Amino acid sequence: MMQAGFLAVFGSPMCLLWIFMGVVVGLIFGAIPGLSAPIAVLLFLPMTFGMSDIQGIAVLIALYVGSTSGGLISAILLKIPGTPASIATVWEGGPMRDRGEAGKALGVGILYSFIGGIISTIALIFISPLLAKVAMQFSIYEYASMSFMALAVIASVCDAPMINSLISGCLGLFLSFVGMDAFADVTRFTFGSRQILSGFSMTSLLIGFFAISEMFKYAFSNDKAIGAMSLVKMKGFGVSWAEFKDNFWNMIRSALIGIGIGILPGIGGSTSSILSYTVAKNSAKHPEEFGTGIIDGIVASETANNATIGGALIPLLTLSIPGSTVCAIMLGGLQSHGVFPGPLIFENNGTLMYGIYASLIVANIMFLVVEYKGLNLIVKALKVPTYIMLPIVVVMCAVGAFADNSRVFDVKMVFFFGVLALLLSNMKIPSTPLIIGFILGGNLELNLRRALMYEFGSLKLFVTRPISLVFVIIGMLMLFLPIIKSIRKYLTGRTTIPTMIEG
Amino acid sequence: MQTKKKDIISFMGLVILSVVGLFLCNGIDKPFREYDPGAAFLPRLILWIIFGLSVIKIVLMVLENLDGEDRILGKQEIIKGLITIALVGCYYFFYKSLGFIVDTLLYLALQISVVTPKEKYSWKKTLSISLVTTLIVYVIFAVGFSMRFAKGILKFM
Repeated sequence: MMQAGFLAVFGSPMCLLWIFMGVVVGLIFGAIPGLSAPIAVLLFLPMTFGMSDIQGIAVLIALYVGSTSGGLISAILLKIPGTPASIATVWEGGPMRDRGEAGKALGVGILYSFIGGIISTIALIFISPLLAKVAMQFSIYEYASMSFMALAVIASVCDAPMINSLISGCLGLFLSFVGMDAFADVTRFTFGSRQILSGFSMTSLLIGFFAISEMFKYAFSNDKAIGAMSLVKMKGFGVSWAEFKDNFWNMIRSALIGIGIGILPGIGGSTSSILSYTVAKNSAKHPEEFGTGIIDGIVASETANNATIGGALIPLLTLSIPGSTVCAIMLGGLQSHGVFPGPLIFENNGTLMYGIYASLIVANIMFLVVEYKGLNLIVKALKVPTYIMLPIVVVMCAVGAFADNSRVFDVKMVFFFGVLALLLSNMKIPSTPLIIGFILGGNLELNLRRALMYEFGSLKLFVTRPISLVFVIIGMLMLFLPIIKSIRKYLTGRTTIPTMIEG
Repeated sequence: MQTKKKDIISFMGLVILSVVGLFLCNGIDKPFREYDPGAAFLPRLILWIIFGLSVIKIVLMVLENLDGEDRILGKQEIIKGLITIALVGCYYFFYKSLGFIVDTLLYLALQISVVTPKEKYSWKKTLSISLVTTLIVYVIFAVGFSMRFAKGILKFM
């Protein structure tokens, strides 16, 4: 299986070519502010339907790696993060650019992005089989309580007031209930439409939320064209041996933070890069130097955001729970190839798993070479203005939505979800909990109702089975700990009642 | 104050949605067998949670000055945004009747015209980009990936 999986990538010039193209396109998407990894993966998802499963997933992984890494280009050269995962890179890369050290900043970012990606690939290779073995012990109780825990985690760590995140998660759950009931012979909230008997298409929802809403937000903004990026002279990776040694533990710690954040569902590279930057600053001997243009901040940010990729793939492949938005899209890609992630993935699709590991390694090596050698070419390619790029993205979204099921109805649903995303964004309701709620809602309801039927209406086994109990406790803690903290703050006079309730 | 009013109206929309949803749940309350809580169980629970949280949010906004940090949109921006929503809506709704090629060409030409800053706009450039993009996408997906796009008014082709 391992040999077959690795050969399917390393031994296939076509597959290597697809990965190369995926990395290049991903880098360009990542470098353009306003476009991001989810959009890159979404737009090219339909293209993968006609490929073999390994090639298709390899392309999506290459896009993910490329777009996450590409964000550092505009973060440093324009002081605008190309993707949310590069926010923290702006804080150090910008000042370095101002001092004429853009080449060094880029070299450091590229090198440590590569290192973060490789470390997380190693983690994926070793952790996912262990997690798959543990997941074999799962039954309906564990799946239901795990879905509850995942939703609670997202609601509590999302960068929005907790009430808003909970509303978002609940809306996602509600959207997942639309269609034919899994048990009883009833249709729910279909209003007589046959086309949503099977529920809303996940592809339409993701495209509407992440791509179309961007078009709407751009149209409502007064965005002037961004200044053109200038060409850069690169000399090596700009890191001396002494600097590498000084940042060794920073690198390891940031990679572990990235992997850990990646494993948690719904949280992405932006959280891991900011968190690792903050930890690096707090642990530094001279924290006052952060923000003035030192490489330590770039090391922390870029190692963590690329390490998130491997981490996010771990729960996706072994538990069918996407660790990030891009993984949610990749779940759709896997399912369209007839691959259903879960604990049996090593038994049923072992070759594919090794193919995924190989793709990650190849994609990381390719982006290192392409981004380093081809940086000035990429800068030239980025001269396409946003006001031309985004309408083209809308067209590609229509193609993508149609390609899913060859139904015009799905294309119309993209518009509906785009408008919904815009409305929710105006209400400061985050979209990530909604997406995860939509993905997990079916699973949660199916297993909860089965559990109740088997146990004659009792919920006892949710708390007597050890793994399920752990998930329930974590979920409850994530929901109620912020509330308890707020009550404590209120009692010590550090907050008001409304702020306390809002979370 | 405008932002606060807008937010209150938005969350009232959620309250209304949840009330309507709860009403519709009455028609689907059908258990599969004994001890099945029924098809309406979780939707009802979730709608009650949405209702409760939205009411709490409205009360908080009324009690305290929980204005958002929205910047005020200019008239031009609002018009541009609304036209964009209408264009995207028309593009997706006329996808089948006009057909991919005509629909996409029209959409790109109009959309780029709307969002391009005045000082950078050129009708020749807009038309060329629209035409070239439409053809490239069509060739890649219809010819390269054998996707069957709607022909619409070009049925004779």
